[in-house]
Amino acid sequence: MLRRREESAVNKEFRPIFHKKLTVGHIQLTVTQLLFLAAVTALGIGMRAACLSYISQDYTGYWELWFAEIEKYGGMRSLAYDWYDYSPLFMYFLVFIEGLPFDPMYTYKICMSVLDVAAAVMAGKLVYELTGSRNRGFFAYGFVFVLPTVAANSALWCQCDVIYTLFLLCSIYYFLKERPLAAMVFYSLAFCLKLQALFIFPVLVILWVHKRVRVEHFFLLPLFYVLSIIPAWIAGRPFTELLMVYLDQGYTDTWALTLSWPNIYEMITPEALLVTYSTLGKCLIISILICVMYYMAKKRYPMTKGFILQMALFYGILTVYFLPFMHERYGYLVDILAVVYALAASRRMFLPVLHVLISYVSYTLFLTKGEAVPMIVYAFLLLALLCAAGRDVYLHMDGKDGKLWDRPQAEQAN
Amino acid sequence: MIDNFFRYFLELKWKIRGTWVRFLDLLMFTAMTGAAAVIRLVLMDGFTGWYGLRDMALALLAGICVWRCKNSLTAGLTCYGVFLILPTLTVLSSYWQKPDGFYVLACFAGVAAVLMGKRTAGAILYGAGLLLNIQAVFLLPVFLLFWAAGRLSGAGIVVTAAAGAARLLLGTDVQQLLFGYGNEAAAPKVLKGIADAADMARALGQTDTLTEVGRRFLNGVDGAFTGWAADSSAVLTDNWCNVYQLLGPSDFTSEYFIAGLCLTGALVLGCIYAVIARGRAARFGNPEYVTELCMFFCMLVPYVAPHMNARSGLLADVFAVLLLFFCKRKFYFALGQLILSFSMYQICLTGVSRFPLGYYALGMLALLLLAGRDVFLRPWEEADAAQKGGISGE
Repeated sequence: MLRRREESAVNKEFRPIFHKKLTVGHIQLTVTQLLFLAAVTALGIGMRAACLSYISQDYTGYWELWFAEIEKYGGMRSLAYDWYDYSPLFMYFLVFIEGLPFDPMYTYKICMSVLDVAAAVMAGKLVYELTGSRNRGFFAYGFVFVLPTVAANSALWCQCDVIYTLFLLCSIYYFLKERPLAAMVFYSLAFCLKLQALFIFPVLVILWVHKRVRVEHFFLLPLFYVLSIIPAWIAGRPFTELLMVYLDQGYTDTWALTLSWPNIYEMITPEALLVTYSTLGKCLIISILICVMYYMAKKRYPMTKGFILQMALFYGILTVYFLPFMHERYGYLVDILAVVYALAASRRMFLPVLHVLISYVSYTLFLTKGEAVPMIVYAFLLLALLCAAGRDVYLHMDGKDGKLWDRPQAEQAN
Repeated sequence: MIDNFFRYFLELKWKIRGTWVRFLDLLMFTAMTGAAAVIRLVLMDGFTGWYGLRDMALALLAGICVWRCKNSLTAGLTCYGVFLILPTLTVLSSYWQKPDGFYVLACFAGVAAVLMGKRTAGAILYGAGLLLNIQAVFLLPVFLLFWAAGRLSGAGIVVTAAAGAARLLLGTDVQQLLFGYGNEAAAPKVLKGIADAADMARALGQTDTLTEVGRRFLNGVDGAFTGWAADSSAVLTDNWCNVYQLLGPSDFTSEYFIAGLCLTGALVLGCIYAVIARGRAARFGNPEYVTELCMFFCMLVPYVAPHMNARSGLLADVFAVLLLFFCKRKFYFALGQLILSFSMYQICLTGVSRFPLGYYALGMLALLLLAGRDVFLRPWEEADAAQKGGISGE
């Protein structure tokens, strides 16, 4: 082995500073950890600052027009008209943004970037819950905050996927903490913001089979949705119209079987036999889910914290892979979950790297209309990731995933 | 009788400073040196430069490192021979006549010196590498880890920082000032049709991100952080197979310039923290680990940083080939890295690419994932136990 010399006196004085402990709030950190968190936050802010001035097609095509409508009719009163097709809960947020005395685009992007911090913190808490390791929790925060898809979604593209994703992360967190009521409240809030929350709905069904959540908790979904539309109804929009918002969304953006997301429809030509394959695709995914959920419901296996995360990851990839009309941003949740997963099971480090790459290439395809590598290549790559995630789920159900986790996963109490 | 005559030479050996040197060893050394000289003369089309001597110095250094680490003269001489005929180094020095090999030699010597316990010399050599070419910054994380592991003094870090600052203020690589820009005629297809001097320089791979940063700092560019980036309209990758080949090198040039630098910094920071947090700093006595770590960072930084030129893989080439001699199972790093690196040279020199550049970028990503897995996830205890001999300290 190679030999070391004696350490210099200066180094002996300087090096212990990095191990000194500080208390920030109720968390104890070393100086090294604090420096890491501060540096990675600053770099994440730098990434977003570089993109703030970009005006995306979605802003000029949607948000800018909607802000104009809100201004024209005067705040909440504008929600009485049918110029918007997003959920009312999200529209209240836009009304709030428009009411502030700043440029709406920058305000919107900054608000979303602040929510990115919250999402990164939740990812850190998830990792800490799974591993008990503070360092890994800090890594999760750092990596999620500088994830290209997370940064670009808020600061470059001016989109809002972080909102519902944050609530989904909270929901998963409380499921890990065995607090189903809190978990379902957050899930309901996510559902009230975006229909894409349903991508991991099968997880809730399996959790119900394993008695981690009660049937009564599912009623929170319609309850919260009805509560969320009341202000818009009071503002003047018809109640039935507000109830049908998500159904109406299903009839928009149907000009190709996949809207830049490299799923199975990339393999069969996205513009071919649109109506036939879209119906077929919906039937196919429902059939696949029936088979998978049947197997998962019948088999006996421990419901561990890690398995809940694995299910969320697996269903997040599966549903988006087979559903038609999937957008390029629909891998957002799985991007973050994959980072959490990889930090709890480091052998799966390839998962977030490849999934984020696929996700960001999809973003690029929409934003620049250019592709360096045909999307079909990424479709096969995503299929491989789906198989990897599915295999992990299967191995757990078979009791053979002992070596996967960095820290053994204890079974949750019944 | 004739048979015995030749066998006599096979058996011939001498003891030189405690080491048995056979006739075959001398033959190998002479033959490879001669072959390398001939290759270079052919590429230069006559003797037009002496960069081959620099390559020989690098090959000798690599050979000595392997010899002393593995206690095997055979391995050392084989390493020497392979380094002499490294395709990228050979074409760079003889055909393209670029001075990049100097900073590679300085950085490599710096790493070797630190491992041998010569901390100050290691820091000075690395600082020289930084001054010669800013791309030496790819190895900065390794030197920071050396310091964290107690293998580099605080003074060493100061020397390194001073060299880096001097390079930024200078605004150009010292190797360019000393040795010029190489043989521009070697890349006629790249030069053809390019009127703008800045674009021409970029096409020749003369510029890189931190040259741009240094230049603007010297020119006193005011304005917001994004305003700085907004001046950058250059393509995001100057013929290196990195992530920007997959995203489109001409899109969001100003946004990705700063965001790419921030992302690079964050990833490097995360990796440094991971090495320290996982206690991997204790592995710094293992030359295989250090070599792979150097290779990893030399792959990672050019993969995510913007404005990397076609020669950005040179440091990684060197460490990948060196790794081969520490662990034969990891031959795929040397093979993959050299194929990718040399392909980028060819694209720059001939303007022709066999595949869309995105495929090369995917290949590089695969190598990066494998290297990362080794550096951060593999238990290195058995490699430590198997480590025989080693470079003696002072």
